[in-house]
Amino acid sequence: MSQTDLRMQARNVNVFYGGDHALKSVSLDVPNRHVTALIGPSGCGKSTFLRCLNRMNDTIDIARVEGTILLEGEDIYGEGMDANLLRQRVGMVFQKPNPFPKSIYDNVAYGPRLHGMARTIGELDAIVENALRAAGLWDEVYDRLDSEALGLSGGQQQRLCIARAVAVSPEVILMDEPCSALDPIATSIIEELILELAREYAIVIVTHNMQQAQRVAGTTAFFHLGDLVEVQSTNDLFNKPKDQRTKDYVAGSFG
Amino acid sequence: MNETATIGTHQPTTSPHMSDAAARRRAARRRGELVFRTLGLAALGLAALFLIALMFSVFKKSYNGFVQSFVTIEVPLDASIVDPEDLAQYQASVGIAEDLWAADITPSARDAKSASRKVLRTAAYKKMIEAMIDQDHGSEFTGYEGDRARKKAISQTAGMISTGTLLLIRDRLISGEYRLGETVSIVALASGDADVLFKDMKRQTQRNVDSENWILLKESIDENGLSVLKAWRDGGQVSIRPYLGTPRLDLLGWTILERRPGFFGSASSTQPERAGIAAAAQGTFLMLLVVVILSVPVGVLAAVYLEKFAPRNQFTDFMEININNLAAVPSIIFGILGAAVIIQWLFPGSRGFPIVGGTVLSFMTLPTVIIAARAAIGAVPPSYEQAALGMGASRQQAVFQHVLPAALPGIASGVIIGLAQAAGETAPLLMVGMNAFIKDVCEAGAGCLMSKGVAMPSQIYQWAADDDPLFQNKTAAGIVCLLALVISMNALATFIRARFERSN
Repeated sequence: MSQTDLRMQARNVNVFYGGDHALKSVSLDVPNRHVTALIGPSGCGKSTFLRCLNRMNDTIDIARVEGTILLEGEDIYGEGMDANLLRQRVGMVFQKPNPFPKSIYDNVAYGPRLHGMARTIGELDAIVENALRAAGLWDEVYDRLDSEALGLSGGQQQRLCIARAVAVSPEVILMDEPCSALDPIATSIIEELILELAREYAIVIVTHNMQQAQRVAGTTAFFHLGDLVEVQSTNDLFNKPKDQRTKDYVAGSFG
Repeated sequence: MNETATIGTHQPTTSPHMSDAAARRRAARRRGELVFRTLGLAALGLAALFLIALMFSVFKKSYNGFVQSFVTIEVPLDASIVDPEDLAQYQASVGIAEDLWAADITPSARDAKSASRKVLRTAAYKKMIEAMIDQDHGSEFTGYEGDRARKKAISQTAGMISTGTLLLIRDRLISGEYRLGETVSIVALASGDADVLFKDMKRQTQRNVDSENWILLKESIDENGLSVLKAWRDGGQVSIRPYLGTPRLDLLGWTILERRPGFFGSASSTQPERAGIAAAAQGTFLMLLVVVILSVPVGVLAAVYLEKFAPRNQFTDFMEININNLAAVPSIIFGILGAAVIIQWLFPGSRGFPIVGGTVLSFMTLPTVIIAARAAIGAVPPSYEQAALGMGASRQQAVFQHVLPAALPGIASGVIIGLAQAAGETAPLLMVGMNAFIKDVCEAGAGCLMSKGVAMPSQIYQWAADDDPLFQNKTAAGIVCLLALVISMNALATFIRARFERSN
């Protein structure tokens, strides 16, 4: 843990949806090569916080974000930061698998094409292959890259979405309950994949499933009613919670 | 066992659900449902009945509009009829009739040609038919009081041949295909009156006729009776116009054929037998082209903006209400707009141009296209856009690369329904003069957009105003064509929507 450098640092982040104060002065670090899990009951602000990290909240008209979030020391809400470029550097995987209604190849190649990352077809092929390998999908689809992505199973679709996010060489990968729409087998494959990806990327994952947080995360942050209640190493948070609310939540008393 | 039996018999008498009042309520409810269902079925049946009656009458009437009568005649091209006054000029024309349009001719020959062309153009060709009848059957035109009455009967009989055939003879003489002095065999278009008469006779004597071609034999007329025909006419069973008198059908011995010629190939005409839908179909096609070019880009982009980019405020709400209201504005209002703004103000002299008609129909179609496109765009799962944004695409890239392609089938079906609506619209076309009398199909390509035109609904409207029975048939045939167009467009839209809904 001491080896890890910090990829992102959030300081005193407040989010308002109109008059609603959704996130209250949250400060959290995102270490590199490490999985950070955000847990908490519904409506606690964990997804809101996640969406601050790549400015997806920009697309909501009434959302207003205050505070500072640094990516490699650079303010992502600063003037010089382009939101589209930021989202290339901070990739996102959504709750429901959402591949484009295109071929498997085109799904993965979308980002590299968008950002002009490949000069030749060969380079693009290599990026697609590497991304699919990183997502553990290559062996299953290498012979049908031109078939429709929507023909894949739910778990495969979600891994395709992970491959799509990996293909643009992000610095951080955000995952918003990536397994909530999947069956247990697909879930365990994705969890293994998350651990695999954590060797190279900083990962922030929102999850409703406390066991999942325990299985994949090195650090876990507990959110409640817009507050970041407690952040500790996963082991400590579940076994030696400092705050009473955390204790009640991980014991299953509410949420 | 005993206990359950007691409970079983005990409960019905005490339960409020089993009381008499409850039974009455249930019966009343069942009655109400039965009445409602019966009324619904009756309404449906009535609507179906009207539809069938309409379809039946239109389709029955339309058959005669599609099919035209022809007669085979042998006409001597008598030179003295073409040029009775100046035989010498005629002789000059005979010499060069074959190469009337050749380039290498001497000035005097050119003069002769020009003169003979004029002679050929203005000759009284009906007299040829009359002469033919007189020559073949003249002896049988007996019993008329004086020469004048006899001539009139012959002339009426010659009137059974369409003016179109006379023009055909003229044109072939000018082009050199026919030579004066020879006798040619022509499958001649029958005049509208003759056509209706033949068809009626054929229908009445259907049992005696076994093929498409039938011969109006002197004997058969005599036996079945010209008197029978006269009785039909007097009884209103045969729609022959009263002023036509009695053509001596019994004398002709013509072979009558029914064919499917010009309805799709010819433009309108004052003679019903020559009138076709071609010019109107061309006008409708050109207008729909204009509608597609104008309303699709404008409508789709407006829908994209309103659905995806416009800020939610009072102005956009106001726009939205107005667009929805525009879809319900009576179409003639759009016609008045076109007449006032485009024809009287912006481009005077553009009255009746398909480009103007198409523009007016575009105004009318735009709200439909915008509403359909917005619905289609709104129905695209937001996850596509989210995914693209999450990859670092801009809003515009996300919308144009992912949302719009996914919405395309819905947009296409909306556009086609808008086009079908436009194709069937009449009132605005009358306001902008798209009901001109067009006797030739325009062959100027894109220039046809800016020459006076007519569209299918307004063509039907014109024909419907003529009480000639053959024009009534043409009206029905035109309606069938328009219906076929609109129904197939709607079917295409439904097909596109169903096809792509399934694949998603």
